[in-house]
Amino acid sequence: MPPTTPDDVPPESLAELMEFDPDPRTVWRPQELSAVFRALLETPVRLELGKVGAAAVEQDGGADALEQPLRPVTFADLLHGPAPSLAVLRLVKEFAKSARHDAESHLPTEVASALYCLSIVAGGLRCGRLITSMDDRDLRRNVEWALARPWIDDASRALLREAQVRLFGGPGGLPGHRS
Amino acid sequence: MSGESGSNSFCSFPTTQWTAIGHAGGGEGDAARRALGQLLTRYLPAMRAHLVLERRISRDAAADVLQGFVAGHVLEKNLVAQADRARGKFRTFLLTALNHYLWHRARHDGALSRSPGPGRHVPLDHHAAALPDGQPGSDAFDVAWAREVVREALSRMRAECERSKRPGLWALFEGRVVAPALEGTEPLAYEQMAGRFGFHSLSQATNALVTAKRMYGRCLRAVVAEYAGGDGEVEEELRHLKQILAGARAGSGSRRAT
Repeated sequence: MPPTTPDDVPPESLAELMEFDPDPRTVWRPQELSAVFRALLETPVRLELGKVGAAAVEQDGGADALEQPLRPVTFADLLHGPAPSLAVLRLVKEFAKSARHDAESHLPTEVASALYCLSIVAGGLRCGRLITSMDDRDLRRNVEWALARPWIDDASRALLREAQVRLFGGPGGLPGHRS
Repeated sequence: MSGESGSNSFCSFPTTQWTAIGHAGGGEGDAARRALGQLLTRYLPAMRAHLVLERRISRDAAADVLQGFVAGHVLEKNLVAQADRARGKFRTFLLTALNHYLWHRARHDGALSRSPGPGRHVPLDHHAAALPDGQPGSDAFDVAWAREVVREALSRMRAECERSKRPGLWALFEGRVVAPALEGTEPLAYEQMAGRFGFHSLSQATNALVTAKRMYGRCLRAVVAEYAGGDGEVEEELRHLKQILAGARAGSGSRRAT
Protein backbone atom coordinates (compact mmCIF):
# COMPACT_ATOMS: atom_id res chain seq x y z
CA MET A 1 0.00 0.00 0.00
CA PRO A 2 1.45 3.42 -0.90
CA PRO A 3 2.28 5.67 2.03
CA THR A 4 -0.41 8.04 3.17
CA THR A 5 0.17 11.62 2.14
CA PRO A 6 -1.01 14.87 3.69
CA ASP A 7 -3.76 14.88 1.03
CA ASP A 8 -5.61 12.04 2.62
CA VAL A 9 -6.03 13.11 6.21
CA PRO A 10 -8.45 15.38 8.02
CA PRO A 11 -7.07 18.84 8.78
CA GLU A 12 -7.11 18.32 12.53
CA SER A 13 -4.75 15.34 12.16
CA LEU A 14 -2.49 17.43 9.99
CA ALA A 15 -2.39 20.06 12.73
CA GLU A 16 -0.20 17.66 14.70
CA LEU A 17 2.44 18.10 12.04
CA MET A 18 2.38 21.83 12.59
CA GLU A 19 3.67 21.25 16.11
CA PHE A 20 7.27 20.62 16.89
CA ASP A 21 7.54 21.18 20.60
CA PRO A 22 11.25 20.78 21.23
CA ASP A 23 10.88 20.28 24.99
CA PRO A 24 12.39 16.85 25.69
CA ARG A 25 10.19 16.50 28.76
CA THR A 26 7.07 16.33 26.62
CA VAL A 27 8.37 13.78 24.12
CA TRP A 28 6.56 10.99 25.94
CA ARG A 29 2.79 10.92 26.21
CA PRO A 30 1.13 10.60 29.62
CA GLN A 31 0.00 7.06 28.82
CA GLU A 32 3.63 6.11 28.16
CA LEU A 33 4.95 7.09 31.57
CA SER A 34 4.70 3.53 32.82
CA ALA A 35 7.01 2.29 30.05
CA VAL A 36 9.28 5.29 30.50
CA PHE A 37 9.60 4.70 34.23
CA ARG A 38 10.18 0.98 33.70
CA ALA A 39 12.88 1.79 31.16
CA LEU A 40 14.52 4.17 33.58
CA LEU A 41 14.57 1.55 36.34
CA GLU A 42 16.28 -0.92 34.00
CA THR A 43 18.93 1.60 32.97
CA PRO A 44 22.41 1.51 34.55
CA VAL A 45 22.70 4.42 36.95
CA ARG A 46 26.12 5.38 35.62
CA LEU A 47 24.71 5.72 32.10
CA GLU A 48 22.11 8.26 33.14
CA LEU A 49 24.17 10.29 35.56
CA GLY A 50 26.67 11.08 32.84
CA LYS A 51 30.27 12.12 33.22
CA VAL A 52 29.68 14.62 35.99
CA GLY A 53 27.73 12.13 38.00
CA ALA A 54 30.30 9.41 37.40
CA ALA A 55 33.11 11.69 38.56
CA ALA A 56 31.16 12.59 41.66
CA VAL A 57 30.60 8.92 42.36
CA GLU A 58 34.35 8.37 42.21
CA GLN A 59 34.92 11.24 44.64
CA ASP A 60 32.23 10.07 47.00
CA GLY A 61 33.61 6.60 47.02
CA GLY A 62 30.47 5.18 45.50
CA ALA A 63 32.08 3.90 42.31
CA ASP A 64 32.41 0.36 43.57
CA ALA A 65 28.78 0.38 44.55
CA LEU A 66 27.79 1.03 40.97
CA GLU A 67 29.47 -2.02 39.50
CA GLN A 68 28.76 -5.64 40.13
CA PRO A 69 30.65 -8.56 38.65
CA LEU A 70 28.09 -9.41 35.99
CA ARG A 71 26.37 -6.15 35.13
CA PRO A 72 26.26 -2.50 36.14
CA VAL A 73 23.87 -1.36 38.84
CA THR A 74 20.54 -0.17 37.56
CA PHE A 75 18.15 2.29 39.15
CA ALA A 76 16.00 -0.66 40.17
CA ASP A 77 18.98 -2.35 41.85
CA LEU A 78 19.70 0.84 43.73
CA LEU A 79 16.17 1.78 44.78
CA HIS A 80 14.82 -1.69 45.46
CA GLY A 81 17.96 -3.36 46.77
CA PRO A 82 18.52 -4.18 50.44
CA ALA A 83 21.69 -2.10 50.93
CA PRO A 84 22.09 0.73 48.43
CA SER A 85 25.00 3.16 48.54
CA LEU A 86 23.93 6.35 50.27
CA ALA A 87 26.43 8.33 48.18
CA VAL A 88 24.87 7.07 44.97
CA LEU A 89 21.37 7.69 46.28
CA ARG A 90 22.39 11.29 46.95
CA LEU A 91 23.60 11.64 43.39
CA VAL A 92 20.41 10.15 42.03
CA LYS A 93 18.39 12.53 44.18
CA GLU A 94 20.34 15.53 42.85
CA PHE A 95 20.03 14.19 39.29
CA ALA A 96 16.26 13.88 39.69
CA LYS A 97 15.98 17.28 41.34
CA SER A 98 17.78 19.05 38.52
CA ALA A 99 15.82 17.06 35.93
CA ARG A 100 12.58 18.41 37.35
CA HIS A 101 13.62 21.98 36.55
CA ASP A 102 15.79 21.46 33.49
CA ALA A 103 14.00 22.14 30.21
CA GLU A 104 16.61 20.05 28.43
CA SER A 105 16.18 17.02 30.65
CA HIS A 106 15.04 13.87 28.91
CA LEU A 107 13.03 12.78 31.94
CA PRO A 108 9.37 13.73 32.07
CA THR A 109 8.83 15.98 35.08
CA GLU A 110 6.54 13.49 36.80
CA VAL A 111 9.05 10.67 36.42
CA ALA A 112 11.84 12.88 37.76
CA SER A 113 9.68 13.79 40.75
CA ALA A 114 8.97 10.14 41.52
CA LEU A 115 12.66 9.27 41.24
CA TYR A 116 13.47 12.13 43.58
CA CYS A 117 11.02 10.88 46.16
CA LEU A 118 12.11 7.24 45.84
CA SER A 119 15.80 8.04 46.31
CA ILE A 120 15.02 9.87 49.55
CA VAL A 121 12.76 7.11 50.79
CA ALA A 122 15.30 4.40 49.92
CA GLY A 123 17.96 6.31 51.84
CA GLY A 124 15.66 6.62 54.84
CA LEU A 125 14.59 3.00 54.87
CA ARG A 126 17.74 1.17 53.78
CA CYS A 127 20.52 3.46 54.98
CA GLY A 128 18.86 5.05 57.99
CA ARG A 129 19.39 8.59 56.63
CA LEU A 130 16.85 10.96 55.16
CA ILE A 131 18.85 12.79 52.55
CA THR A 132 16.53 15.80 52.35
CA SER A 133 15.81 19.05 54.09
CA MET A 134 12.09 18.57 53.51
CA ASP A 135 10.07 18.33 56.71
CA ASP A 136 8.10 15.16 57.40
CA ARG A 137 4.83 16.65 56.30
CA ASP A 138 6.17 17.62 52.86
CA LEU A 139 7.97 14.32 52.47
CA ARG A 140 4.80 12.44 53.35
CA ARG A 141 2.90 14.47 50.75
CA ASN A 142 5.55 13.56 48.20
CA VAL A 143 5.19 9.88 49.04
CA GLU A 144 1.41 10.09 48.74
CA TRP A 145 1.72 11.90 45.43
CA ALA A 146 4.08 9.22 44.07
CA LEU A 147 1.79 6.44 45.29
CA ALA A 148 -1.08 8.00 43.43
CA ARG A 149 0.77 7.76 40.09
CA PRO A 150 -0.79 4.86 38.21
CA TRP A 151 2.42 4.16 36.34
CA ILE A 152 4.56 3.46 39.42
CA ASP A 153 5.80 -0.16 39.33
CA ASP A 154 4.98 -2.66 42.07
CA ALA A 155 8.42 -2.71 43.71
CA SER A 156 8.54 1.08 43.96
CA ARG A 157 4.97 1.12 45.22
CA ALA A 158 5.96 -1.36 47.94
CA LEU A 159 8.88 0.87 48.93
CA LEU A 160 6.62 3.91 49.19
CA ARG A 161 4.06 1.98 51.27
CA GLU A 162 6.80 0.77 53.55
CA ALA A 163 7.86 4.41 53.96
CA GLN A 164 4.33 5.37 54.88
CA VAL A 165 4.33 2.78 57.64
CA ARG A 166 7.88 2.98 58.93
CA LEU A 167 8.60 6.68 58.48
CA PHE A 168 5.19 8.20 59.03
CA GLY A 169 3.24 5.66 61.06
CA GLY A 170 0.89 4.62 58.29
CA PRO A 171 -1.03 6.27 55.42
CA GLY A 172 -2.16 9.73 56.45
CA GLY A 173 -0.57 9.24 59.84
CA LEU A 174 1.15 11.86 61.90
CA PRO A 175 4.69 12.75 61.00
CA GLY A 176 6.88 10.06 62.42
CA HIS A 177 10.46 9.89 63.49
CA ARG A 178 13.47 10.28 61.26
CA SER A 179 15.68 7.25 61.20
CA MET B 1 16.15 30.76 1.74
CA SER B 2 19.45 29.04 1.65
CA GLY B 3 20.15 26.59 -1.05
CA GLU B 4 19.46 23.63 1.18
CA SER B 5 15.92 23.05 0.07
CA GLY B 6 16.74 20.04 -1.98
CA SER B 7 14.53 21.40 -4.72
CA ASN B 8 15.25 18.67 -7.15
CA SER B 9 11.70 17.95 -8.15
CA PHE B 10 9.35 20.03 -10.18
CA CYS B 11 6.98 20.31 -7.26
CA SER B 12 9.51 21.57 -4.71
CA PHE B 13 9.12 25.02 -3.32
CA PRO B 14 11.13 27.28 -5.57
CA THR B 15 14.29 28.83 -4.26
CA THR B 16 12.85 31.75 -2.34
CA GLN B 17 9.19 32.14 -3.05
CA TRP B 18 9.23 35.86 -3.74
CA THR B 19 12.28 35.57 -5.95
CA ALA B 20 10.43 32.93 -7.92
CA ILE B 21 7.40 35.19 -8.10
CA GLY B 22 9.67 37.90 -9.46
CA HIS B 23 11.02 35.49 -12.05
CA ALA B 24 7.57 34.23 -12.92
CA GLY B 25 6.27 37.76 -13.39
CA GLY B 26 9.35 38.74 -15.30
CA GLY B 27 7.86 38.16 -18.69
CA GLU B 28 9.09 35.90 -21.46
CA GLY B 29 11.77 33.27 -21.52
CA ASP B 30 12.27 29.73 -20.32
CA ALA B 31 13.22 30.75 -16.81
CA ALA B 32 10.05 32.81 -16.38
CA ARG B 33 7.90 30.02 -17.77
CA ARG B 34 9.58 27.47 -15.51
CA ALA B 35 9.14 29.67 -12.44
CA LEU B 36 5.50 30.28 -13.33
CA GLY B 37 4.94 26.58 -13.82
CA GLN B 38 6.36 25.85 -10.41
CA LEU B 39 4.22 28.51 -8.79
CA LEU B 40 1.06 27.23 -10.43
CA THR B 41 1.85 23.63 -9.53
CA ARG B 42 2.25 24.71 -5.95
CA TYR B 43 -0.89 26.82 -5.72
CA LEU B 44 -3.37 24.96 -7.93
CA PRO B 45 -4.44 22.45 -5.23
CA ALA B 46 -5.21 25.31 -2.85
CA MET B 47 -7.17 27.21 -5.49
CA ARG B 48 -9.07 24.05 -6.46
CA ALA B 49 -9.89 23.37 -2.80
CA HIS B 50 -11.15 26.92 -2.42
CA LEU B 51 -13.47 26.61 -5.42
CA VAL B 52 -14.84 23.16 -4.57
CA LEU B 53 -15.02 23.23 -0.79
CA GLU B 54 -15.53 26.89 -0.02
CA ARG B 55 -17.45 28.15 -3.03
CA ARG B 56 -19.31 24.87 -3.56
CA ILE B 57 -18.51 24.70 -7.24
CA SER B 58 -18.51 21.26 -8.86
CA ARG B 59 -15.14 19.73 -9.66
CA ASP B 60 -15.76 19.99 -13.39
CA ALA B 61 -16.75 23.62 -13.14
CA ALA B 62 -13.78 24.31 -10.86
CA ALA B 63 -11.39 22.81 -13.39
CA ASP B 64 -12.96 25.00 -16.04
CA VAL B 65 -12.68 28.08 -13.84
CA LEU B 66 -9.06 27.39 -13.08
CA GLN B 67 -8.23 26.86 -16.70
CA GLY B 68 -9.87 30.17 -17.57
CA PHE B 69 -8.20 31.95 -14.67
CA VAL B 70 -4.74 30.69 -15.54
CA ALA B 71 -5.10 31.32 -19.27
CA GLY B 72 -6.95 34.62 -19.13
CA HIS B 73 -5.48 36.24 -16.04
CA VAL B 74 -2.28 34.60 -14.95
CA LEU B 75 -0.81 34.17 -18.41
CA GLU B 76 -2.50 36.71 -20.62
CA LYS B 77 -2.53 39.60 -18.15
CA ASN B 78 0.70 38.53 -16.42
CA LEU B 79 -1.07 38.63 -13.08
CA VAL B 80 1.96 37.52 -11.10
CA ALA B 81 3.86 40.66 -12.07
CA GLN B 82 1.32 42.68 -10.08
CA ALA B 83 2.05 40.85 -6.82
CA ASP B 84 3.70 43.10 -4.26
CA ARG B 85 5.37 41.65 -1.20
CA ALA B 86 4.78 44.86 0.73
CA ARG B 87 1.02 44.38 0.36
CA GLY B 88 0.79 40.99 1.98
CA LYS B 89 0.90 37.29 1.29
CA PHE B 90 1.07 36.06 -2.27
CA ARG B 91 -1.66 33.53 -1.64
CA THR B 92 -4.02 36.28 -0.44
CA PHE B 93 -3.25 38.19 -3.61
CA LEU B 94 -3.91 35.10 -5.69
CA LEU B 95 -7.11 34.27 -3.84
CA THR B 96 -8.40 37.82 -4.27
CA ALA B 97 -7.67 37.69 -7.97
CA LEU B 98 -9.37 34.30 -8.27
CA ASN B 99 -12.44 35.57 -6.44
CA HIS B 100 -12.66 38.60 -8.71
CA TYR B 101 -12.33 36.40 -11.75
CA LEU B 102 -15.05 34.15 -10.39
CA TRP B 103 -17.37 37.07 -9.82
CA HIS B 104 -16.84 38.52 -13.27
CA ARG B 105 -17.28 35.13 -14.83
CA ALA B 106 -20.51 34.47 -12.94
CA ARG B 107 -21.86 37.83 -14.15
CA HIS B 108 -20.84 36.94 -17.65
CA ASP B 109 -22.51 33.53 -17.37
CA GLY B 110 -25.63 35.23 -16.04
CA ALA B 111 -25.71 37.46 -19.06
CA LEU B 112 -25.20 34.47 -21.33
CA SER B 113 -28.07 32.60 -19.71
CA ARG B 114 -30.32 35.58 -20.41
CA SER B 115 -29.29 35.46 -24.06
CA PRO B 116 -28.42 31.81 -24.70
CA GLY B 117 -25.81 31.01 -27.24
CA PRO B 118 -23.13 28.38 -27.78
CA GLY B 119 -21.57 27.88 -24.30
CA ARG B 120 -17.82 27.90 -24.11
CA HIS B 121 -17.57 26.71 -20.53
CA VAL B 122 -19.51 25.20 -17.64
CA PRO B 123 -21.87 27.90 -16.36
CA LEU B 124 -21.50 28.89 -12.73
CA ASP B 125 -24.16 29.16 -10.10
CA HIS B 126 -24.23 32.90 -9.54
CA HIS B 127 -24.86 32.54 -5.81
CA ALA B 128 -21.99 30.11 -5.31
CA ALA B 129 -19.63 32.44 -7.07
CA ALA B 130 -20.86 35.61 -5.38
CA LEU B 131 -18.17 37.45 -3.51
CA PRO B 132 -18.68 37.83 0.23
CA ASP B 133 -17.55 41.02 1.94
CA GLY B 134 -13.91 41.00 2.90
CA GLN B 135 -13.52 38.05 0.58
CA PRO B 136 -9.83 37.09 0.72
CA GLY B 137 -10.10 34.72 3.69
CA SER B 138 -10.73 31.10 2.77
CA ASP B 139 -10.32 28.15 5.13
CA ALA B 140 -10.28 25.63 2.31
CA PHE B 141 -7.58 27.57 0.51
CA ASP B 142 -5.48 27.85 3.66
CA VAL B 143 -6.01 24.19 4.60
CA ALA B 144 -4.90 23.12 1.14
CA TRP B 145 -1.96 25.44 1.43
CA ALA B 146 -1.05 24.02 4.84
CA ARG B 147 -1.05 20.56 3.25
CA GLU B 148 1.48 21.78 0.72
CA VAL B 149 3.65 23.23 3.47
CA VAL B 150 3.56 20.01 5.51
CA ARG B 151 4.19 17.86 2.46
CA GLU B 152 7.23 19.94 1.55
CA ALA B 153 8.59 20.00 5.11
CA LEU B 154 8.29 16.21 5.36
CA SER B 155 9.92 15.77 2.00
CA ARG B 156 12.82 17.97 2.99
CA MET B 157 13.32 16.25 6.29
CA ARG B 158 13.41 12.87 4.60
CA ALA B 159 15.90 14.18 2.04
CA GLU B 160 18.05 15.69 4.77
CA CYS B 161 18.10 12.39 6.67
CA GLU B 162 19.12 10.55 3.51
CA ARG B 163 21.74 13.13 2.66
CA SER B 164 23.26 12.98 6.13
CA LYS B 165 23.07 9.17 6.07
CA ARG B 166 20.68 9.01 8.99
CA PRO B 167 17.83 6.96 7.59
CA GLY B 168 17.11 5.70 11.10
CA LEU B 169 16.23 9.20 12.21
CA TRP B 170 13.61 9.47 9.47
CA ALA B 171 12.29 5.99 10.27
CA LEU B 172 12.01 6.96 13.92
CA PHE B 173 10.20 10.21 13.10
CA GLU B 174 7.95 8.44 10.64
CA GLY B 175 7.00 5.73 13.13
CA ARG B 176 6.61 8.03 16.05
CA VAL B 177 5.09 11.19 14.52
CA VAL B 178 4.22 11.00 10.81
CA ALA B 179 2.37 7.68 10.59
CA PRO B 180 0.28 8.38 13.69
CA ALA B 181 -0.72 11.77 12.26
CA LEU B 182 -1.33 10.65 8.68
CA GLU B 183 -2.45 7.06 9.13
CA GLY B 184 -3.83 7.05 12.65
CA THR B 185 -1.43 4.34 13.81
CA GLU B 186 -0.18 4.11 17.37
CA PRO B 187 3.14 5.91 17.81
CA LEU B 188 6.11 3.57 18.19
CA ALA B 189 6.38 2.66 21.86
CA TYR B 190 9.65 2.96 23.75
CA GLU B 191 10.20 -0.80 23.72
CA GLN B 192 9.67 -0.93 19.95
CA MET B 193 12.05 1.96 19.47
CA ALA B 194 14.70 0.36 21.65
CA GLY B 195 14.41 -2.93 19.78
CA ARG B 196 14.33 -1.45 16.30
CA PHE B 197 16.90 1.30 16.65
CA GLY B 198 19.13 -0.20 19.33
CA PHE B 199 18.69 2.44 21.99
CA HIS B 200 20.36 1.43 25.23
CA SER B 201 18.73 3.99 27.46
CA LEU B 202 15.78 6.29 27.81
CA SER B 203 18.03 9.29 27.27
CA GLN B 204 19.26 7.92 23.92
CA ALA B 205 15.71 7.40 22.72
CA THR B 206 14.56 10.79 23.98
CA ASN B 207 17.52 12.58 22.44
CA ALA B 208 16.92 10.92 19.08
CA LEU B 209 13.26 11.94 19.12
CA VAL B 210 14.09 15.50 20.10
CA THR B 211 16.69 15.67 17.34
CA ALA B 212 14.15 14.42 14.79
CA LYS B 213 11.48 16.85 15.94
CA ARG B 214 13.88 19.76 15.86
CA MET B 215 15.03 18.81 12.39
CA TYR B 216 11.41 18.73 11.22
CA GLY B 217 10.79 22.06 12.92
CA ARG B 218 13.72 23.55 11.01
CA CYS B 219 12.39 22.17 7.73
CA LEU B 220 8.91 23.50 8.44
CA ARG B 221 10.25 26.94 9.32
CA ALA B 222 12.47 26.97 6.24
CA VAL B 223 9.49 26.23 3.99
CA VAL B 224 7.40 28.98 5.57
CA ALA B 225 10.34 31.40 5.59
CA GLU B 226 10.42 31.20 1.81
CA TYR B 227 7.18 33.08 1.49
CA ALA B 228 6.78 34.79 4.85
CA GLY B 229 8.92 37.74 5.85
CA GLY B 230 11.10 37.82 8.95
CA ASP B 231 11.06 35.53 11.98
CA GLY B 232 7.96 37.23 13.39
CA GLU B 233 5.99 36.58 10.22
CA VAL B 234 7.17 32.98 10.11
CA GLU B 235 5.90 32.35 13.61
CA GLU B 236 2.65 34.15 12.85
CA GLU B 237 2.12 32.13 9.69
CA LEU B 238 2.82 28.85 11.51
CA ARG B 239 0.33 29.81 14.21
CA HIS B 240 -2.22 30.75 11.56
CA LEU B 241 -1.85 27.50 9.63
CA LYS B 242 -2.05 25.47 12.81
CA GLN B 243 -5.20 27.29 13.86
CA ILE B 244 -6.72 26.80 10.45
CA LEU B 245 -5.98 23.07 10.52
CA ALA B 246 -7.11 22.57 14.09
CA GLY B 247 -10.29 24.54 13.62
CA ALA B 248 -11.21 23.48 10.12
CA ARG B 249 -14.70 22.12 9.78
CA ALA B 250 -15.05 18.50 8.83
CA GLY B 251 -14.87 18.40 5.08
CA SER B 252 -13.35 21.83 4.61
CA GLY B 253 -10.16 20.71 3.00
CA SER B 254 -10.11 17.03 3.89
CA ARG B 255 -10.06 15.05 0.70
CA ARG B 256 -10.72 11.93 2.73
CA ALA B 257 -13.94 13.46 3.95
CA THR B 258 -15.17 14.65 0.60
